[in-house]
Amino acid sequence: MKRIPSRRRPAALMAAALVALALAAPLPAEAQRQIVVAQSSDALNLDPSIDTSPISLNLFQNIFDGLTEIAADGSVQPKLATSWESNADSTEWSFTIRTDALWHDGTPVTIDDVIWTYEKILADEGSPVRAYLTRVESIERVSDDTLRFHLSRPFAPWPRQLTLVSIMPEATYTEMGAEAFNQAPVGSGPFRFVSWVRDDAITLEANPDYWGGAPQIDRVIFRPVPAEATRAAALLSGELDIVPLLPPALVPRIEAAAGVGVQTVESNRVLYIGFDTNLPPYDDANLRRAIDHAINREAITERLLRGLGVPMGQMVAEVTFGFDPAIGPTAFDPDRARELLAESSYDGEELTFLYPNNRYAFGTEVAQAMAGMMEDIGLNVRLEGMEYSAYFPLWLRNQLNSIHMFAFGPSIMDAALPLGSLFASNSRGYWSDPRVDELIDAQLAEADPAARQALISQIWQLNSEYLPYVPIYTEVQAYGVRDRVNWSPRPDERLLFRDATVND
Amino acid sequence: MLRYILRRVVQAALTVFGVVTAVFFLVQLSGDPSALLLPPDATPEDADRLRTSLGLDRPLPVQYIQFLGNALTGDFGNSFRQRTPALKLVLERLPATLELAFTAFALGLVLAFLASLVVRLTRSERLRTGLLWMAFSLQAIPTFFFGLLLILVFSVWLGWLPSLGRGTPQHLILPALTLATFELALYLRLLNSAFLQEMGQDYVRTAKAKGGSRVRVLVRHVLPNAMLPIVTIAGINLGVLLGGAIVTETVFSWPGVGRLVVQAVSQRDYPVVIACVFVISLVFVLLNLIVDLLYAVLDPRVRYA
Repeated sequence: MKRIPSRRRPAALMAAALVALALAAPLPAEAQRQIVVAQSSDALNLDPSIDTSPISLNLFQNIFDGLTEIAADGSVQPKLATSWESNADSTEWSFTIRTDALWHDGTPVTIDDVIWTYEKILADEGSPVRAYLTRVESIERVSDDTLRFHLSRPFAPWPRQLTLVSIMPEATYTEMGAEAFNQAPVGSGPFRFVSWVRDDAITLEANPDYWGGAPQIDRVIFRPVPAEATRAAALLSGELDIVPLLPPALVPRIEAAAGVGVQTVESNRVLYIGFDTNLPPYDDANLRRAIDHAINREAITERLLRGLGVPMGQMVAEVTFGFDPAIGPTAFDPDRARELLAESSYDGEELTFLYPNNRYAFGTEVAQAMAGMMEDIGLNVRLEGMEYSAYFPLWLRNQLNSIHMFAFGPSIMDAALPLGSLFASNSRGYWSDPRVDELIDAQLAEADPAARQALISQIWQLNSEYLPYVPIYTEVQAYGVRDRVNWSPRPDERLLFRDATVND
Repeated sequence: MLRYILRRVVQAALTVFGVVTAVFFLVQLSGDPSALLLPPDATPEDADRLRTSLGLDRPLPVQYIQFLGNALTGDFGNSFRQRTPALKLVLERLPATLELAFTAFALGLVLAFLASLVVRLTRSERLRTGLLWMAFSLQAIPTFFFGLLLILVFSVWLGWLPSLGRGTPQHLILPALTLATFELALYLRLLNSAFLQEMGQDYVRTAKAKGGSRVRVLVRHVLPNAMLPIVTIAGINLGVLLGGAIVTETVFSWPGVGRLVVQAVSQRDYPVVIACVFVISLVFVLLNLIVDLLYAVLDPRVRYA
């Protein structure tokens, strides 16, 4: 009987073919002075006037300039604007722009480009960016290098708000048309657009004529990599240089690997427990106080999150304007919690604790731990996890009618955002107090930072007393970075490369 | 035959229409998309303005009739987020999906046929059992796990192949292998039982009695009959692959339709979701149609049924 010589032939053939292919065309050698950074998905637009998503913002802020920028320490810094001033009640803001900035096509950035950009956004009812400019009543051209915003309501952090709007070239945009510009934008930022292969890679190159000096690297490539595990693997294989927001469980493995390190940064995002304070039993401040004392924040940040968290006693992180160092986290005191619970109207009924299960690092584990701590003092808690895209609209529409977990990281790193969104009456919050409303309005009109801080601190004190929100911790974020790259993560998760360098 | 084709085409068109209509109403249940578009500090007025500009303030029946009218001309509306025609976004990603699907499909099918033929020709029971065991185990491994395993071995340890993206043939190898493995396992099992069944038939004995060689009997007589059940399953399976292999595309960051669907659903980008479902169901229905017609060609009994 004839026999085929090798029974393993198909498998051997396959392996041989693989090896041949791999040898025939080896992976491209690591290009010098290039950084490849992962994002969880692709940018949706490169036209900054129609998109507010954080993923797209990372591209905008490398390609374009705003009038101002927020530094990594949380302070506002000049960018296209060199200086600014406001009137006494923060309703009129004048900005003087620099005259040495050029568009990537070589033409100068003018005051008319700046004004055109704002007016284009204001005229575009379908643009989410318009929400950043809701307060603008009119824009006045004061001179060839100065413009003035007239706001309908006072807004002390206005220079921060403007970091979110990228300035675009009127002539080029009009000439190219919106659709073409969205595919191949022209900005004035430190990097120029090179190419965009959808869902695969966006390549930018250094702008040698940048007014702030050319970047130290030649190219930066943004790659959408949706799978967390693939991001980590590709960092280890050298295909990626920077992987943002590593899950805590992966940190030790990345730290132990050769050629790769982990960088951490205390973020601007504070995770908290909120209540529907209009519904019993959540309307009882003693129940909320009991929960505040029942949570062992230290155990969560140190043991569960392995150090990737800082216990909090107020609703903004240290880097955010409005943070008061005098207000520390509530002490873990289960005995005091049981006393407070006994003084409350709570009668053993089941409490629902809602949380998003795919949003925060170890979010589910954190929610489970907190529910366990609440049960330890005698509360009857039912946990209910939800997909974030279903959860977020409920948060927006005040429909989380029980205990809920959420985290707020104000993009402009100013307390005005959480105060307006969570504390003001008719906001996304459930609690309302005329004293708080007055303080919120007063701080928005206060131009002096120290006086403004004092007003904000009063609101944190009211929060500590009535606890409509129980702050838990500030997220500390971990980034995987290859050793050849010198780059620091920012508290607001922006990925900016103007100051990055690589070791050749 | 012509009547048969015509009937099947009409059925196919009705199916696609039904699917698109169902999806149009189903996506509405997922809630208001304007909420996810705006920054968290947007005011209710901002949300109203956006809803009006997206046309979401009109009554649902009006939206549906307008949608149908536009869809007939191939216009599925602009993406809520990207201001680009939704259909264009889907079609842009179709080549990547086709490339991956056909490669994996062909690889799986060809390897399964070769392996089955080798088993039959060698008549080795040990090889047959071994291959079947392999097929069972491969089918049991979740795709994402197998894909990550490949990445770990070929990208991280050996450094031979890229773990993400698309472009060169090397980029195709790992995702195609991941998908093909599942296909291979499936067809191996199907072919094994089909061969076993056909080998016992009278026509095989007759062919052997006529003095045909073993290879000739197998390839000329048994194979065409054994292929019938494979064609049906393969057609449906190819349809599934062409709809975008969501898990594989995600693991290997492959820029195909599957990832677009997931993204569009989570962002409530209705026009893109509907356009994706339209393209996927069209491909699926067309493939089924082709399979049915192919069946009629391969097996004359179907034509007269």
